[in-house]
Amino acid sequence: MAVVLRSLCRQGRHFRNLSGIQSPRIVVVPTLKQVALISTSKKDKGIGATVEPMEKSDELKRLTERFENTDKDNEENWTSYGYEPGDRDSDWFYHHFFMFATVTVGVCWGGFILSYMPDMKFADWCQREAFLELERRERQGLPLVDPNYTNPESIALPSDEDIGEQEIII
Amino acid sequence: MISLIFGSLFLYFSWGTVGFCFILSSLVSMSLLQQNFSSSMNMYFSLNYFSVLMIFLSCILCLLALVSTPYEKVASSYSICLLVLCGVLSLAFSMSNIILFYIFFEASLIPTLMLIIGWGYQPERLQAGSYMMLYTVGASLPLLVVLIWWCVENGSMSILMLKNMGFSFPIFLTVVIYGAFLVKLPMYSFHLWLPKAHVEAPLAGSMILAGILLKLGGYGIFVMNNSFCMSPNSVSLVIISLSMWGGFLATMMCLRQVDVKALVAYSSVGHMSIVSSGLILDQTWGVTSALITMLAHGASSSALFCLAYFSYTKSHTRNIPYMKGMLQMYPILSFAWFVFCCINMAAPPTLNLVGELLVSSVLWNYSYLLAVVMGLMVFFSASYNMYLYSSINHGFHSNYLTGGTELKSFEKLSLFLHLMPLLLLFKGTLFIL
Repeated sequence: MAVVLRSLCRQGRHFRNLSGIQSPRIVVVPTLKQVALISTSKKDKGIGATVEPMEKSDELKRLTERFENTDKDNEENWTSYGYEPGDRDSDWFYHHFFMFATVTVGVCWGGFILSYMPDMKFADWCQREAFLELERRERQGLPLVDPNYTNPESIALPSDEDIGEQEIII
Repeated sequence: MISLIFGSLFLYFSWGTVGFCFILSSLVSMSLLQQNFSSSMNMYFSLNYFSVLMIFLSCILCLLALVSTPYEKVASSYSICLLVLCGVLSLAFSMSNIILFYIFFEASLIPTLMLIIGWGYQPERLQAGSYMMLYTVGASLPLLVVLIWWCVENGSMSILMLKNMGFSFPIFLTVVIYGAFLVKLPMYSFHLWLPKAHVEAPLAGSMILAGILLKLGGYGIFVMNNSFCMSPNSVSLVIISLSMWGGFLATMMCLRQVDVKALVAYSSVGHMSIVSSGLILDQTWGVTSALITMLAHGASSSALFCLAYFSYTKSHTRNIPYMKGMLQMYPILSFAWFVFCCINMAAPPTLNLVGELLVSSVLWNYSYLLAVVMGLMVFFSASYNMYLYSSINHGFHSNYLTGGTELKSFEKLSLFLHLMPLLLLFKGTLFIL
């Protein structure tokens, strides 16, 4: 089906030729020609194409011999962690010490302390108190946000006689 | 905690002991965040969230400097320098007495100078050390005079007492008061010492300079705002404008750099301009942004210097064109370059992005032109980070990049640990002042 569809789609140049009166052969034969015929030779395993392996260079042979031993316990194969290139034990110690001290103690324990520190800066307390205050004001029918900081009736201002000629600066 | 740091000086110490001391100090400084009041103080020590986070950052960075340079552990004086520096920084960030704060602020220069001169690579380190000392001391001596005058006027050296006095001072003194810290940050016009010092310093020196010593300038501005009851005035506006435009110029300078360490140094100038503007404007979001940027920049800039050094050990050069093609030879190092370049350019979701976003609204509130400059700085920050990554990693490997061993354990550990302070993004309540 796909072959037929593909064949039909690729007939553009042949359809141009249909403008003249031509025999159907002009359409049929090119259509059939779209089918590709593939054949291969017989698989005779007796005959094989041999490839001569490339000869190793002297340097490659030398390097292969040098790096043949990949045993981790071999002293020559040791790579330092970077702390103490000359001393294997000291280097191992510093690596494990700093990984424990910085990652386990510093990052994990420190991160835990910082995350679960009890109510830093009273942030949770402030939020709780704010909701309690809102609930109280709703219950008492007071405005939720009062423009007056305190009740004006509770403020006792001095009389004009007490103020006298004292300058008042606001 | 300070006794832990200085006690290690007197006990028989090894390199591993010093490292463990820094880890313990970091954990203890984290526990200082749990306080019942917004600040706690006694006669000498005062701790608020700003100072505790800075102490935490200094302990972490001294630890990272130690872990990243195990080859230097042969010299015990190296560990002594780092210990003294960590101790002095912790004291500087926790002083409640303004004169003592100034003394420890200046004292931090000495171990830094010793690190640069003692373990730097090129002969130019002598000039770099001189530049650093002269710039910092030259700008801070007038500050000392003003501080002594101010303490005599108010009758107290305690920052809390000075905060509540409320006396006024001449506006022109704003330059003197902020000057020492603007040089330390550094602000653009006073930044010449920074590329020299960073480039000539050894790895630990660069990490600590970029990671925490610049932040000492930011903390100093915060302390001066408190002590002198400063609010933005006409002189402050000039300083902020100069700082923002200078930061923009510094980010453009990064695109011109050939030396990878100089590029990272100029990027620090750009980031610190955001810090200085946020602190001088003295609004809540501005100070929060400055704190977040200091923490994030401390970790990311230090990591970039680490990467520059590890790339230097592979290619034996600091020139960017000579170390191209690293993706082919060292893909893990390349991955680390990618991650930290993304963090440095404030790609989401990183702390750097939060800092830049918070300061944008503060700058817009003050003047929309500053927000325009901020936008340009953000754009060029992305461009130089992409240029840095692409120049080093893409393309065919250069002849200087010969095959070698992969990253060692301590290098991978150091880069991994640099990501840890950046995870504080998930603990946002830390930054609410």
